[in-house]
Amino acid sequence: MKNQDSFLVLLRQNQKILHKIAGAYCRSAADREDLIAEMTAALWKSFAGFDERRSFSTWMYRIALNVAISFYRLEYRRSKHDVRSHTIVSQSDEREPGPDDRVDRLNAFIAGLGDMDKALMLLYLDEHDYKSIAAVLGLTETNVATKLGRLKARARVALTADPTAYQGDTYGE
Amino acid sequence: MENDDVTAVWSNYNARLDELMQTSALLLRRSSLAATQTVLARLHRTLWFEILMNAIVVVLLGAFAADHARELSVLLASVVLDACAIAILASTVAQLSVAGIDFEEPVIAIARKVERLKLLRARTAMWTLTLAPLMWPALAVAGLRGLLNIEPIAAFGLPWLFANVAFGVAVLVAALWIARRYGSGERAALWFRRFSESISGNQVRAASTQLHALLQYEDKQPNAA
Repeated sequence: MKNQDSFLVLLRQNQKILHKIAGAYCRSAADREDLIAEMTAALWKSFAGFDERRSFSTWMYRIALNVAISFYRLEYRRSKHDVRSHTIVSQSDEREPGPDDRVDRLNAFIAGLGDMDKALMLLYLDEHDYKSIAAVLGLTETNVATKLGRLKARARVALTADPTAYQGDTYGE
Repeated sequence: MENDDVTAVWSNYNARLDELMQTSALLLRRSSLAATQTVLARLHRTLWFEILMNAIVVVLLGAFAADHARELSVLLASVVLDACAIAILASTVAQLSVAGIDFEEPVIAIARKVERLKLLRARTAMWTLTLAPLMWPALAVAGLRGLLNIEPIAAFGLPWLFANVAFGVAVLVAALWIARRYGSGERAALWFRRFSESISGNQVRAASTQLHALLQYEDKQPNAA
C-alpha cells in the first residue's frame, strides 16, 4: 500500500541520492536545502505512479534529476550562484578539508560538468547499468557508453590535476 | 560495470555522506511532504494568474474599442493595445501548454521542455519590454479618453501625437542604453540585471544557445567528436 509511511521509509533508505544530486547541482547550503525540499515534494507527488516492481532508486534518480534541472533552469538561480569551478563535496559550507582530497577533486570535476553530464556521471558512479542510465536520461545505450567512456577518462585525469580545467558547457561537453 | 579508481573515490564520498547525514538538519518528515510547492507548481500558478489578468484586459479593451467605434483615433489606439494584450495572452497560454511537465519522463525530454519554456518566456518578456514604450501614445489616447473624457488628438492636434511617439522611442533607446551600459555590473540589483538581460535580448540568446546545446547533446552520435 502506497502511503506516506512507506514512502518515507524508502526515502530515508535512499536519501543519499538527494544529497548527491543537491551537492552536484547546488553550491550553497541554502540552495541545497531548497532543492532537497523540492525533490522530496516532487517525489511524494509522483509516488502514486511508482511501479513497485521497478527499482526505487532508479525511479528516484529520474524524478530528482528532472527536478534539479528544471529548478535551476526556471528559477535562474545560477545568475546568483555560479556552481562552476567550486568544490561541492561538502554538505556543509563550514566543513574543513578532509584528508582525502581525491573526493573533493571528483566532486569539483562533477560540479564543472554540464547538467546532462552531471546526471550521467552520478548515475554511473552509483552503479546503474547502461540500460537504466539510457532509460533515465533518454539516450541510446551506445551513446551512454561513449559519453561515459570520455567522462571517465576526464575524471581520472581530474583526480590528479586541476579540476577547473574540465568544465563542460551548459548541458554537456 | 568495472570498478575503477573513480568509483573507488565515490565510495569514499558515500561513506562521508553517511557521517554528514547523521548530523544533517534535513530530516525527512511527514510534515515536509505537503508543505513544499514545486517550482513548476509555482510557475503554473503564475501563468494562470497572468492568463486571468490578460483575459480581463483583452475583454475590457475590446469593450472600450466597441464603445468608441466612431472615434477613429480612440478606436485605433484601443485596437492596437488589444492586439498586444491578445499576443501576450496567446504566449502565456502557449507557455502553460509547454509547462505541463511530467517528472517521470526521461531527463533529456524534460530539459528540452524546460528550455523551450524558458525561450518562450524570454521572447515574451523581450517583446513586451521593447513594445511597451512604443505603445505609450496608444495608451495615452485611450487613457485620456476613458478617464478624462478627452480626445487628445482632437484637443491637442497631431504635434501632441508625434511628441508622444518621440517620447516612447526616446524611453526605449534610453532603456536599451542603460541596460547595456549598467545591466551587467556586479553591483547591479538582481531585478535590474534580469530587466537588462530581457530587453537587450541576452536572455533570448542564452536560452537559444542552451536549447541548441541540448539538442546537439541528444543528437551527438557515438562516433562523432
